Amino acid sequence: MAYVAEISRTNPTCLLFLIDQSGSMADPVGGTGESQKKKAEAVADATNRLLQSIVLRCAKEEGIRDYFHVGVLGYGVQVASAFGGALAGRDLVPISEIGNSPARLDERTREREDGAGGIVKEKFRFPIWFEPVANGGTPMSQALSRAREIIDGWLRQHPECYPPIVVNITDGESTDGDASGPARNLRQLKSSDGEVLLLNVHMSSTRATPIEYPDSDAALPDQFAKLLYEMSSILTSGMRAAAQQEGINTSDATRGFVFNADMVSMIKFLNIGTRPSNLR
Amino acid sequence: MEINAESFWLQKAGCSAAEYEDAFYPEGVTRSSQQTFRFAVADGATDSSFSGIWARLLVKAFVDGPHEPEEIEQLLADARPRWEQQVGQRQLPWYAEQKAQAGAFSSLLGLMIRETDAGRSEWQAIAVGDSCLVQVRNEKAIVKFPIEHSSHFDSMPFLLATTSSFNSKVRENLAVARGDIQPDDAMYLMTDALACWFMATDERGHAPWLALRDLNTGDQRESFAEMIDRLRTQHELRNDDCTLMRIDIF
Repeated sequence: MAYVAEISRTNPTCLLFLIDQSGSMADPVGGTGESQKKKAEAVADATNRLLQSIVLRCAKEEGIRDYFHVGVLGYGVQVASAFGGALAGRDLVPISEIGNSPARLDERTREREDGAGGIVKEKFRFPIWFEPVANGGTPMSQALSRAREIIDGWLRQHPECYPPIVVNITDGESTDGDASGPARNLRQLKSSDGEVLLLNVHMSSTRATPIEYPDSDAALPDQFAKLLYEMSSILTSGMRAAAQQEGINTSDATRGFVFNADMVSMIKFLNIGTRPSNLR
Repeated sequence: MEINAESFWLQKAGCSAAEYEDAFYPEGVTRSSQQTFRFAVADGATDSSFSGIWARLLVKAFVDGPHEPEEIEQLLADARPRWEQQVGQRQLPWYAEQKAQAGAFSSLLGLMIRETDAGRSEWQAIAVGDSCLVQVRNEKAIVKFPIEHSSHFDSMPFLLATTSSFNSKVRENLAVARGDIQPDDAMYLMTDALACWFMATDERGHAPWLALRDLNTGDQRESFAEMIDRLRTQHELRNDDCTLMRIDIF
């Protein structure tokens, strides 16, 4: 059986994010009723929130447990580690180091139910690791090939890990050739517990309804979305069960692909222990 | 009614003893005769922080305070400020602060055993989440509560929260059961991983209590920790904190 390895500090897995930083990312996000937020800003925000939620999933009172090693590759003018500050230039970094090394902490406010029918505002510190970048072409094939090298190195050291997960966030228009081949090569890497999982987040300027985890490409609006859908792994049964509990309908053909939609929910699909059903 | 109770625990493999997040109370009862006994086990959720503290507060709250099903809100109201006091005194980095704001979660299984007027004995149990009680009589598991089959354990149970807004559906998720007690019965209180193993073993027609009832006796072949290690290595037991309270009735 695949995708059943325990994710633990003694058997961690890795997550690698590929971030499109091309010039076209300066265009506004499509979708419904969004403000004129640039795609690069939306991606930086999504990446910061993804990292934050991974850190929080691994944080305990005594510190952050290294269930994951995480990398972020930017691709635009060049394909390179997108970490800044103390983590600059590094490929895969233990999640505890990431949690303890944000570039800065923003003070934000959020609203929360007080349990007595009212709403309370509470302040919290939000970590920022990435700033928006939009420059150059979209060397997605090169980025996927580099990802393959990094993951290959990880798997040599962690042959029995839960299969690494690669999340590619892009506006979909590769400028260095068809990315399907490099994507296939990446997905074929495997640990003893299964093949590498490639998930894609398509952030398009097309004004179309957001689509989460489809099981066919029929409703996808353009060829770029269809290509990214084809490149995406089919969700594991564990991810499907977690997705169902988040209210997302799935079938055995459902792929790890979202179109103009949020992928932070994906982090909840990674099972590292008991998660209360009343915590959303 | 005379009772002897013993507790056993082991943290998840790969974790230190300080990272054990189950809880039980009291530690044990040495062959004692009383009108009423109360016992509780709880399992703090891995995904939340400070949940071990919460689990320990809940078991004490049940045993020493409100313990009837209709008193569940009072039990929570008693335990919550204590958790806030213990956690609030610390200086925390950004992630620990956010985890503390999100609150802690834990299961709770509480058992009360009492003598009735007619000289008979009965039990009443409450449960939120997946910590389980099994009553064994005449070499048969006659009660499994609140989960009745090994296939019914999942990793997302409803749990008791330190944040009251997450407890709004506690009544719908509170299970209550009652039954009678006879001499030579044994009650096993277990957190989920051990309970799941117990039920799966019973479903295969083997008697899991045979291994558990000899623990800490002259007939014991291996200690609790040795047994848990072996079952984990044999992939019969999920790697998780394990807690057992064994209550023997005389």
